[in-house]
Amino acid sequence: MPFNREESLMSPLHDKSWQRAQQRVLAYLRFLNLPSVVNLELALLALNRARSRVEESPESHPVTESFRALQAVLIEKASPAAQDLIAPEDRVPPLARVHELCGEIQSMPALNRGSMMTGKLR
Amino acid sequence: MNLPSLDKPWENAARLRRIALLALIIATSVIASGHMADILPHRGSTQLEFVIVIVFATLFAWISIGFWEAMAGLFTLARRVDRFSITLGVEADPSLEETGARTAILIPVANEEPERVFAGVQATYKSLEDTGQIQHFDFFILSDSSDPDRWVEEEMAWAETCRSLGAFNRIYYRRRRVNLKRKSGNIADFCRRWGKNYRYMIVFDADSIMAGKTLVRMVQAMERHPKVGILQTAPLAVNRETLIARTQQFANHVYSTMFAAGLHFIQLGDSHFWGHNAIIRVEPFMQHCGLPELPGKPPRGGFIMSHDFVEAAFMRRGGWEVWLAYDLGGSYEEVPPTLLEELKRDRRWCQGNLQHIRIAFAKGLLSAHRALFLHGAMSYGSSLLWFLFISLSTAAAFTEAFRTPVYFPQGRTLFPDWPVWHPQWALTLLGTTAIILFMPKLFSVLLIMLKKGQVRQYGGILKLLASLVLEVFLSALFAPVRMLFHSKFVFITLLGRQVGWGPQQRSDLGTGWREAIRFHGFGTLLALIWAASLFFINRSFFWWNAPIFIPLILSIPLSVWSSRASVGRAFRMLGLLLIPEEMEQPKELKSLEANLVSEQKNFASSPKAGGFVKAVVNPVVNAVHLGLLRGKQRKLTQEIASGRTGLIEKAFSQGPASLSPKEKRIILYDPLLVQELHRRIWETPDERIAKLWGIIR
Repeated sequence: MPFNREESLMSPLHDKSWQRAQQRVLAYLRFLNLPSVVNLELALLALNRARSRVEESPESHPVTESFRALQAVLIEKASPAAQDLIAPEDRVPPLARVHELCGEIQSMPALNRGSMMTGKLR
Repeated sequence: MNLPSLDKPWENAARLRRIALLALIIATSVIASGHMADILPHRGSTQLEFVIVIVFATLFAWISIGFWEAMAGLFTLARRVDRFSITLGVEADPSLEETGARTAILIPVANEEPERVFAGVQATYKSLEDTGQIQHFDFFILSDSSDPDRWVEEEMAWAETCRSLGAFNRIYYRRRRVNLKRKSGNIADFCRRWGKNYRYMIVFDADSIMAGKTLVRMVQAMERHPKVGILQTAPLAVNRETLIARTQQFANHVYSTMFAAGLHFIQLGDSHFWGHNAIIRVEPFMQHCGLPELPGKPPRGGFIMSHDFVEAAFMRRGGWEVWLAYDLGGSYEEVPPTLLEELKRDRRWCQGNLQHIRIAFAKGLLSAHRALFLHGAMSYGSSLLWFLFISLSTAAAFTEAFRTPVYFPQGRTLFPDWPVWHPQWALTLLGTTAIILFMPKLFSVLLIMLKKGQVRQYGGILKLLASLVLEVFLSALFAPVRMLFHSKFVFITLLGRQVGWGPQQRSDLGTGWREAIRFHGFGTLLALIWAASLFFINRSFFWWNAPIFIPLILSIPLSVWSSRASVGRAFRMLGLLLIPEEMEQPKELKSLEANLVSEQKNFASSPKAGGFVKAVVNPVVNAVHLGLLRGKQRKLTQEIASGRTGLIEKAFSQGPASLSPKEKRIILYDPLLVQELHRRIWETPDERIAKLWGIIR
């Protein structure tokens, strides 16, 4: 896929690669069932970070960097420490913390092993 | 209130009752077989006629078992109190607070529709919550699903169910990596892992629903009768809309109460276990019910396929009783929606039941359970005998048509040997057979009519009688089709060919014409040839056999037509084949319907991709899946590790369609692969790959 670095750095909003990056970030956020305002805020934050990374490392691509930035933003926003620091209305709802939540899910109780021998047939 | 003693008295009563049953069966069969011999041209004196009489006697004995059991059921239900009823003395709204008994509700599934399974779990859970006794129960969904899409969908459905009910740590989900011994192995695995935590387990089928009150009463019945190892309920068939399934539901509601009461009358503490909708005492089950493998190859050897009968026999062998709670309501199941689905299920059951013949002669089992094994085998073997009977009768009819009569076979005698055919005797025998077959149905309807308020639940007296006639007519139409298929199944099993054990289709999807032609084409052709031969060779025998070959010739349209929910609904609109649950839906079934609609909406609103793609692409599904894989990362050999690197490259660059189910399972089992694929797919600037995975369109 052709990616014009200079053009993208000059006008990210009009560049096709940045548009794709934006679409990709929003598509990912849609799966998290967050309010659309939160989605837009997170997307903006991630895209801004991605833009500075693309400026720093010439070999990177906006789509790749945007996704990585979004992951970092989600982890930061979802961490309990960060949640405590920000105002309640800006907090990321629990579904975005799903990775963390799953760490708490018990799909099975603790093992309490017993034996069940096979019966005999003669 | 004094509880009935379930010690010696029931065993003595059972012995007497079984002797009486046997005497009645033998007497009726001998009389009927004598009549049969009289009807035949040579009164059973030729070899062919002698074999016909023997086969007829066996078949007549078979149908008279059902008749006399039904009569026993009628007797039981007509009495005010059954002193051996296992639910006698169990309170209507019992509390389990003082018992300290914990019960696990097990729902083994294998590639079932997750939305239906979890809608059922929710309905039962809510019903149990309403009793105020939920704290004494845990739910376990024990999955043997091999389909990677179903696996992930089950995980999501489990997480969503727990979230919506607030039931984390009360509803558990476990998927087995190795499906050893299928359902029985799955339950045994549960027992080995967590059995010690529970005094009882209640086993469900994927389509079972039980009322909370019923579950609590079952536990209380077990508490009151500490010698009972298994308590089986008599589930009622509900929720289907296709014509054939509604016919089965009607038959189940009208007749099964009497037949179940009859079974109870004869069996008492030596009863059946049907594999679901039953409560089991865990400790003796673990001690006595581990199933061995049979020597030899499947289908006759190998692991035991129909495990439930064997588990009941083993429980009895261990000194524990097995009872049928025929009078306990609130226990439901669903029947197959189409004739083909029913036949597919029967093929598995046939194989399992025939395998039981080997177990029936094993040492140490009680004679009552040996009889049950033979009875189960005969359920399918009788079809082959019926087929044999028709074939032999046809052969006899053809022989008579072509043979020159020999009037003096013994040389010079005073009187000739006239080959005489007595149609009026044949009609008498036909009438007797009809009484044996249909009298229990009439008595069942009479019982409903005698019980106050019950007729109304079937749409009124006229509609009940019309439904009875319709059910008899449809059963007669389906009987030859079932006979032909069952004969084939028995024959194939005896030849040693195995069948698959796939999931059942449980939704009301109809049968297509092409599928019906594929399954019924042979039977139709066979019936056409048979009917044409009879028509030209022996016209009177042709008319006698018309009720058998006409349904076979019509089996293709019959199978398609009866599989349509629209036809079933049309009959419902006419008020025919109604069951009480259709007239007034119980709370649990209402809840199931509402949950099913909501689950289906959830599934419909999510992208059309299968569970595997969702686990890779959707971050929420991905996280839940990874959460459930915790602690399962294993050290890999270099060979396996490089194979997996190749697999992830293939998955990434060629998309999910390029992967086999086995490859998908390998990815889903490995948390690192799932994470890696998720990351790479979302990071890639390559639009072709993003499209392959459905991220962009």
